[in-house]
Amino acid sequence: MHRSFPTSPVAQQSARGVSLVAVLLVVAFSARPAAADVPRIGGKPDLNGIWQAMNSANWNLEAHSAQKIDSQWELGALFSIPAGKSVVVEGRIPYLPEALKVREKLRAEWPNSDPETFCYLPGIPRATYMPYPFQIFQGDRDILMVYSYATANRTIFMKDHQEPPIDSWMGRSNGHWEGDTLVVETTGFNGRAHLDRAGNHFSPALKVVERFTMENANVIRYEATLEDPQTYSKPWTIRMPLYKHVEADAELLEFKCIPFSEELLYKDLELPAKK
Amino acid sequence: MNQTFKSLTASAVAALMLPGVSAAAERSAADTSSPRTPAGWQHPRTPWGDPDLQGTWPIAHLMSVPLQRPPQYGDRLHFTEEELAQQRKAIEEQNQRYAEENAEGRLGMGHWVEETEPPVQTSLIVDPPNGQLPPQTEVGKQMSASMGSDWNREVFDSVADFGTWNRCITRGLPNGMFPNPYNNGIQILQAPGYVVISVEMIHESRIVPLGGMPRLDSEVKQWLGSSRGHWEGNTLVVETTNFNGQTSMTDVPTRGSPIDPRASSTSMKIVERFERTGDDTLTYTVTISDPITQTADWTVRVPWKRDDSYQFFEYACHEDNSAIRNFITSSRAKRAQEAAARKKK
Repeated sequence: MHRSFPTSPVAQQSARGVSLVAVLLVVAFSARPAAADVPRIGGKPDLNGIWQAMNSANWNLEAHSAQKIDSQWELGALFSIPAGKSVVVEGRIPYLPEALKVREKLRAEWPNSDPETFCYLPGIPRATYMPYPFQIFQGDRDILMVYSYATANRTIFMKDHQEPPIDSWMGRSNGHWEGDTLVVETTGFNGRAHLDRAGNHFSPALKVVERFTMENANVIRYEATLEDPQTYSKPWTIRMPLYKHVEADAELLEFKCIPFSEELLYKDLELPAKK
Repeated sequence: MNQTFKSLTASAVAALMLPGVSAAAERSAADTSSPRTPAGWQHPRTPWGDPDLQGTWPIAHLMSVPLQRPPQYGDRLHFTEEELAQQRKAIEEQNQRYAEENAEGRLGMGHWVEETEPPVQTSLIVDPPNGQLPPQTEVGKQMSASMGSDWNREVFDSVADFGTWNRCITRGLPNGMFPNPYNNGIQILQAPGYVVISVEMIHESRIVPLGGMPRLDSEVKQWLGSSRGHWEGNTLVVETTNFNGQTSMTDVPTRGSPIDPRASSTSMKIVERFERTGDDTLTYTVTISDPITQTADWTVRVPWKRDDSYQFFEYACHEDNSAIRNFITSSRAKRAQEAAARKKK
């Protein structure tokens, strides 16, 4: 099944060669029908289950080496960055020059620049590939995605396709089926969430189009195309497999991280120790 | 908030027609029998055969019902027609005053919790029959006294001095299923083998596996516990354990709640029953047991009303939580003033 996710050759090539290869891959993979033997519900592929990405995209969507985090020296090898290939189909994110400068600044100021540090809502698409599982509920109504991280959740509205009434961290997700692919369009972001721990960012103008395609019963091929003319010179796409937790007793456990962030948030208010 | 108020107004008329209200006088407070379903009504089912409870069940219509019963009603859960007429009149008069103030351009913040309909019953609590929370154990009292809350203190030094809702972590259970002045959305969604109960406040989805999923190991404690569900006929029964013992069972924004927090322990168990009684009605019952902190169990039973036009808004609370910092810095400033005043003397 790993053949289905050819991100590695893409990531390793030079930026110039990348786009042609990427276009060919996108065409090739979009045209390919989903496996016929996937479980179904209501005639559509059954996405119910607990899913998780198995990569280091949350560290950095683009290719990166294993690294020490200087500010976290006390944790030694426990908290350092694993190497990763790019999950960006085009290899690199096509930032506008000013937006690239912002990325470099956010990266330099990490971890304090990262909303994840403070347990803030993850936004889309980051919620999908954070290092925590999420659960999809698909019956005969809207589709619900529940994330372990920060008890975030989002409804994929399958019928009531409204413009988002207000901007929010998670945006509003309108979904529809294109053949066997669940296509989700999300807009209405407040632009405060980030894409990873490497400062990759977007503006409130972001539109995300996600595609969930079942490769087989236990693998979803996940793609997200990000369009944000205020931040990027052109739309770009990430692609990765999502794996199902297949244990019979798999259960989405809480990761309510606010208490883990409070000492950091309010450190300056700490009273001197009482005698 | 506008949405909440709009749906409140829209549902005001419907509330008056609820069967439970007109049959009020006939039913006693401890009555746990099922409300009658309409003749010939077929319980909806999901395509995979489970009783279908899906929809949005906002509980804003319960905002005016106190958790604990005002003493004048004794053991009586339902209002008399006379009492209801009085309450309706009072609300109309109040709304008239608001309308006048609004027309004069002086409607203030004091009106941000407005009632548009009389309470559907005298208290949320139906058992004990007197509608009061049962006494706490000595341990429960001690635990409650050490809990943080912004309702019963004036000096704040750290996050430990705040309640879990102030910190935007959770309203906890059972409190999160009780009415609040705003963001009262509750939504039920089903998939094969699961019921998910989403509450608008703090964006929480309570996942209820049905059937044979083994209980979560008691070493794993969660703010919302761990739920297991099963069907008794068409009634969904949800048992929740594995609580972390760090939440208050009640909180002041639910009217008629004690001002002090009411501690829960890791032994708390809540059992909820979701019984749909019509296309747009459901009876919600929750019984709270915690032998460590309280001397008896208590039960809340309330009518829910479906309103699929109600929309959730993202409750991103922690992300802009300035209250913690402001309360603590205010306390520091106050202390500094007091110290300066003492020096002068």
